[in-house]
Amino acid sequence: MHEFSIADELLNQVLSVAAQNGAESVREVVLEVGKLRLIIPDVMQNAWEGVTKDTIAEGSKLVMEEVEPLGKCNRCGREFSVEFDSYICPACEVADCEIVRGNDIILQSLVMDQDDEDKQD
Amino acid sequence: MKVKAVKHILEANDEAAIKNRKRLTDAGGLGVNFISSPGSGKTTLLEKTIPALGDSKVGVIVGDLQTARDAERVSGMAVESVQINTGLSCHLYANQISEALDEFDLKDLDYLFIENVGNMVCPGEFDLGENVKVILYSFPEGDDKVAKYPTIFKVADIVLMTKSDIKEHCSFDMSRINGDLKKLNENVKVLEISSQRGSNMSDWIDWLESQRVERVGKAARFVSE
Repeated sequence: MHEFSIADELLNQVLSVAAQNGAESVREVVLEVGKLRLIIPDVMQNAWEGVTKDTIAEGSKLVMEEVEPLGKCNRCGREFSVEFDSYICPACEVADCEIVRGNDIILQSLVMDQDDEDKQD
Repeated sequence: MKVKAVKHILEANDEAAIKNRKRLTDAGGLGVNFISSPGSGKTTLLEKTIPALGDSKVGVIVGDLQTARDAERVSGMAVESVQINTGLSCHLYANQISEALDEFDLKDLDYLFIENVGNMVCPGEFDLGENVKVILYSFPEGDDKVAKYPTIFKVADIVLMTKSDIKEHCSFDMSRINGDLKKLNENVKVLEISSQRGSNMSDWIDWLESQRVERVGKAARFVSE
């Protein structure tokens, strides 16, 4: 269910970038999604459809790019691939790490239309 | 027209959370975020914890979709209690806490307890500006929840195994919990408690007080002997 909160925050960011660029409509939004954030793509798509209704981003395509999680062991400094249910360092065999990657949700880019003549797709 | 953006989506929440934490810590209070599934005993724990903290002054913020029942339950013992009705949202946001903080005289608070909406997923994703996250996990819920909802346990500072007075009636393998927790966080503390019977409540209170000294530091006005 946190997809709806995230979609809402995403919309705020999208509308702000669109306003800065004088866009009349938003066609595509590329979102980087860290896997540890547990975003369910289908739910996120539905949420995006819902929150963009009656805005200039209505009908825009949401492209999600998943990022594999990476941890860094606090004990030996080694970087390793983190699993959803296991953060154990393969060298130390202990779960005591910082998350280097895979915990962020980042708006990467937008495709927007500025004038009426650009609107056709 | 394509534009590169690179904007962190939870930035607004995280910034509000950082401000909340600073407001609280500067005033000398420890922020505690209580997270669990519905019915694991968050409000009962608060009802038993506040009096056990003695002279300490405790403020409470409670998040629920509807009703003010939980805030009413603790209103007599807290310095101030504020109910936030989240409507359709399954977790609290940092900006809701910012607004609620205006209701408190922060200089008069030793602890701010935030009882999050009952949910084992989403509350873990939203920093509220607390100093510590306390996860409640009751024995009747079964011993598979750490493996099922790892993200919430990954961010826990302490896991309170609640309703330990009825543990023997629940099919429960504690070694499974400890094993699953070890895969997520070597440093997490686990405490079995019963709010109703008072079992291990003093260990829990000691932990809270030590966290206040450690995290709020010199600003802490009251330190238990």
